[in-house]
Amino acid sequence: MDEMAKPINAIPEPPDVVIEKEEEYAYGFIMEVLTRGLYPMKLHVVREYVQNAYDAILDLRRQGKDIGDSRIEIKVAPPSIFIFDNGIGMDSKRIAEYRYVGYSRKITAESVGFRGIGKLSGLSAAGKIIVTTSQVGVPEQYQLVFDAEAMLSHVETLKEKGENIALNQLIRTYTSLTTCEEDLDAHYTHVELYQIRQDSNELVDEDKLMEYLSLTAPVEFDTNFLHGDQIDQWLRDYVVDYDTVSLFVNGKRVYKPFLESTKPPQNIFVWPENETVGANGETNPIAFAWYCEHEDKGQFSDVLRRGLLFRVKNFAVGDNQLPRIHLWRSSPERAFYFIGEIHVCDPEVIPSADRTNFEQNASREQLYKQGSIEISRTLNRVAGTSSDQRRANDFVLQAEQTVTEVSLDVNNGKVPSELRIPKIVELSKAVENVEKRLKNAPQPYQERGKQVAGNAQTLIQRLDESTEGVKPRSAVYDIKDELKLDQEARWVYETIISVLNEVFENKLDIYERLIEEIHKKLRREEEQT
Amino acid sequence: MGNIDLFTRNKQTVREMNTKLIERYLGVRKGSLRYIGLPASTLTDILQWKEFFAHFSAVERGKPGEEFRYQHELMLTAMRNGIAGRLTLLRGELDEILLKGRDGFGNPVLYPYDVVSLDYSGGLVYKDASGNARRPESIAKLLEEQAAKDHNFLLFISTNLDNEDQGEVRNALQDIERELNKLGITISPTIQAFLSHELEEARLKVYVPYLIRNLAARRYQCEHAKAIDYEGNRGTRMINFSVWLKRTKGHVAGRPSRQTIIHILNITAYCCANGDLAETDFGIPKVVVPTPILTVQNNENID
Repeated sequence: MDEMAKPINAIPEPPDVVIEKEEEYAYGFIMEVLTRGLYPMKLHVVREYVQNAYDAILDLRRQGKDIGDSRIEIKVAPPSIFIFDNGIGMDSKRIAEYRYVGYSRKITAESVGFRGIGKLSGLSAAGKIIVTTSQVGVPEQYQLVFDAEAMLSHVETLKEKGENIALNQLIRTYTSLTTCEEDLDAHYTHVELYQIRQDSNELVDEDKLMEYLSLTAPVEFDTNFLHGDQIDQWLRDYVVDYDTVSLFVNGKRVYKPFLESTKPPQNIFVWPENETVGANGETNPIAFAWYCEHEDKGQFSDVLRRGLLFRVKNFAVGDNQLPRIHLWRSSPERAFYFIGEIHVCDPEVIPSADRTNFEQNASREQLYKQGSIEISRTLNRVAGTSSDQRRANDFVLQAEQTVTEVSLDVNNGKVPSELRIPKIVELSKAVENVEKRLKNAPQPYQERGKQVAGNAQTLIQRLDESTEGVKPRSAVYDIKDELKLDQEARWVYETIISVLNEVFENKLDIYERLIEEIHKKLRREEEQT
Repeated sequence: MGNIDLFTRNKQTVREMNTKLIERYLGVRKGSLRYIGLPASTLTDILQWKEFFAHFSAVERGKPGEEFRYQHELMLTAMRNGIAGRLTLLRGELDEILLKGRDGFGNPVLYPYDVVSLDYSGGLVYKDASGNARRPESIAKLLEEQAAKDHNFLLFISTNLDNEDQGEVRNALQDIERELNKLGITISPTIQAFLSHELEEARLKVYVPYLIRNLAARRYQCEHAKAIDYEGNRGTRMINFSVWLKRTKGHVAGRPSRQTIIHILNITAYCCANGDLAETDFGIPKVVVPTPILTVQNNENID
């Protein structure tokens, strides 16, 4: 390309952009604010370029020219990171406008980016930004080079001297634009952030980058996520501007993450207050959410991937704390009992420049208010129901275990007379717990609960009827009778047992064990004598 | 444009000959091979061979003062052709990178490789300002690293005839003469014919394989293919050498074969014009070898 390249700094300005020649209204320091100030988290820089790449692909799709191979590729090659897309590309006008700060032709309803600032975010992280592009149907390639390091260093020097430089002059001095021939059908934009600065090293950390993009970018669900296809279909049906793109980092495909042990997905529409379906039957929800509940007890342990994420045009806004903070008025811990997304459908809800939240306006407040009602209340209720069910299940299981153990001893007449009352108490408690918990439990639990309570009652009755050593088939035996202890021995034995009973009144398991051991010992002694 | 077209046709023929060698020696591992070389920003070699390779290490030094431009273009070509995920970009001088095992930005040379393609403008015997022959040194380092991984590989070397030869080629031919004279093989007429030949490519045809043979000694057995002499960009004369370097147990601790030298002297070369190949011996008489010596090895002709 180099041999054929010629400067095109002389490309005419677009007619609707007026640059005042006599007076300057913006100065060089603004570059610092717009770049370093806006991107304290450097990974956001990559997101800006991925957003632009995605918008270019959406443009290509709108023109019906995507043949199904559109993709974004990121290559980490220290000291650079490359972001490539085979979207629509830029013509001479667009690439010239790339140098305009805060200027964008993008339409908010169609594009993810629209402020005309993100394209310069690389200035905060790299020594140079090199953009090479070709638009479909234009037989030319353009290359724009921003010498960021020299530009910001110039600004710094002037600052020290108390001098200024007009923004126009600064950008003209430190950018170059060249062109050469290209195939008519070629369409791409290739951005290189060259000489990544040390403080931005996480940009060349492949693992961090993949993790960040999987949580942020509009990529497809992981093919291992069983419910991915179903959720994707919901989103295509209910979220007008939902779409996805193939994204690769160093040749590895990036997918939306998911967590194991989830129940099947559910969805929620968030409607404006007092409105569900429009007068003419049209539906305009504020947001559409899907969620999967944790199959196991409590929160998911993965702190990054649990909870819900806001998305606009399938790009994440904020992290999993944002919905938790703004939607959950009570039991916020329950937000992390779920994974899911909240796709914002209201175009008036606009992500803030750094995309950590939404711009403060009435629409955002409505999203938070209605989201709180529809989403957090629903999810808290779901979590509560699951919790009740889990507890009911635990009590039923516990009761079943008690009944099984006791019934074995009862049927074999192996209940020591000392344990008759404690066993009755234990069974009664189990019955009480089950009956109390089963009120809110679903039908299958109620059936099992009734069954186990009935069995426990039968055992209680049998124990109740058993008096010490009276009936031949009694559930209870009396060791004193069995060993034919004399009066004096009986007195000693009963004294010891009464002491043990008092000491271990609340520790039935220890008391039971002691009784068993004493009985074993007495039987052995009897055999030997 | 005429020159570029001619270069493209000749270079394409060379590439096709190289492809045959890749197929022959490494075809069974198609799809999993590893490459390092100087593919230029057009990546023509790599794109032609992409079905064979799972990894490419591409070395690009760029134009002094504007190094990033060619490197940027190289990556753009890789992105457009969907091979960026398999590509590692090493920035800087190839010799330095091979010697240090990494480029100036710390990106490592990821040994081992199955195909190594070296392209030397300025010639192979080029010496730097301090008189060091960095290219042979870097090839020696490459051989050492490859041998450490016990890896057979194909080595392609393209060099122009713009050698700043300070007697290295003459010395090498005289070394060959001495070495074979000791064995009772009379090769003086052949050596004289090489030394007095009007074409530099006739001497390089012997010198480069002889250099590789010596550098690889004790590590690899060399199987040389016929060199291809062709006209490159802007009328530059170029020669492409191909050698299969094979690790063998017997050879690891052994000495390089004298038969290899005879083969190097006798092997014909191709001359490529307008993309067509014609065999040539440069009119140099072949070395006649007494029969007993011929039994040493006979597997070095891979043309």
